[in-house]
Amino acid sequence: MKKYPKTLVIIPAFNEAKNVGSVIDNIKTYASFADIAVINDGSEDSTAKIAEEKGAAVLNLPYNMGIGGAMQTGYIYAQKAGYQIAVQVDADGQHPVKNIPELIDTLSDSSADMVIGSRYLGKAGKEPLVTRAVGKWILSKIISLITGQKITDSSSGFRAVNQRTMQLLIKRYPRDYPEPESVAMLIKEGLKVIEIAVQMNERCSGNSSITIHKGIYYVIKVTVAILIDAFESTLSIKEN
Amino acid sequence: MTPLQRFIVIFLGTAILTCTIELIRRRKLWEEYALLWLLSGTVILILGVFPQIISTISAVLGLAYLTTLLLIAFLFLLSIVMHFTKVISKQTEREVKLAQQLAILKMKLEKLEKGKKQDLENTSEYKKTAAENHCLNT
Repeated sequence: MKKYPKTLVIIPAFNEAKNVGSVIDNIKTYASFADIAVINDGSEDSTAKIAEEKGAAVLNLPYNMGIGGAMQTGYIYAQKAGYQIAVQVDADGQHPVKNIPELIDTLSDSSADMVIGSRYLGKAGKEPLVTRAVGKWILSKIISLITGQKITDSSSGFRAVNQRTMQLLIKRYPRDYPEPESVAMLIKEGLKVIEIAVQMNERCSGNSSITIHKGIYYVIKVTVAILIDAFESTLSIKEN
Repeated sequence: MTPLQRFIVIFLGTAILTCTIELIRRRKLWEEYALLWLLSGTVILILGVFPQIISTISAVLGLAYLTTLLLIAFLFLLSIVMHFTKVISKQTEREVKLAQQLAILKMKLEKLEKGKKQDLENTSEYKKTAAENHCLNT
C-alpha cells in the first residue's frame, strides 16, 4: 500500500447521529490510513456515542460553539498530536470521502497549503438554484477581488490542509460560516490554495444548514468579514 | 442654572462616584471596567460646580441647554456601551479557547482512565489465574 503522511480526518458534528456512523465507515473504507476525530459540537442526540462505537476519537465540546469553533478544536488537537495533514469532512455525508486520497496527493504533489474539493470546478453554470448561483458568484468575485485568485467553491468544507495552515487557523478561525473567509485569509497570508473537482453526494438525512434567507445572511456576513479582513494587518506565522 | 438644578447635578455626580467607589471597594466591580464610570461621575460633578461650561458649549454649538446636557450624557453612554462590547468580545474569545482546551483534556483523561481500568483488569485476571494454578498445584 502507498505510504501516506500522518493524517487526521476531522468531522465537526452537531446532532448528526443519523449520518455520522456511515461517514466514519466510508472514511475507514476509502482512507484507511487516516485517523478520525469527531468534534461533537454540543449535540443533544447520540452523535458522540455512535462515533465512539465506530472507533473515532471523540472530542466533546461543552456547548455548541458553531462549526468554526469546532473545526479549530480539531486543528488544535491535530497539531498537538503531530498530524502532518488534517482533512475536514462534514458529518452529513455530503462530502465524497473516496476523494480524500486525491486531496492529500494534490496537497503534497503541488506543494499547496490547502486543497479544496470543489463542486463547481470545470462545471461552469451548473448550479440549479438561482439564489445559490448568485451567492456563489458574489463570493467568488469578492475573493478574487481581494486575493487576485479565482476560487470556484470557497464555501466547500471538504478540504485538506498541512501543518503550516493548521498553525495559522489555530491562531485565527472565524466562528460561523468560516470556509470562504478562511480561504481569503490564507491566500492573503501568502499560502497556496488550490482546488480539485469533486462530485458532492446528496444529503442522506436532514436538511442543509443553509436555507434561502439564511443564504442571504450568509453571503452578507461572509462578504463583510472578508472585506474587514482585507484591511487587517497580516498575521505572521512566526510571531506568536 | 438655578441653585436647585446645580444641586441636582452635583448630587448626581457625587452619587455616581460614591456608588462606583463603593462597588470597587466591595470587589463587585473591577477597576478596569469602572474607569469610564469614574470619569462620568467626575465630569458630571465638574459640570455641576462650573455650570458655565455647559452654557459655553451650548452657545458654541447653538443648542439649548438641556440638549447639550443630553448630548454629553449620550456620548458617555455610547462610550460605556462600546467599552462593554469590547470586553464581551474579549471574553468570548477566552471562553472559546477554554472550551476547546477542555474538550481536548477531557478526551485525554478518558483515554488515560480507560487504559488504567484495562491495566487493572489485566492484573486481576493474572492474579486469578495464578491463584487457580496454585490450587491445581497443591
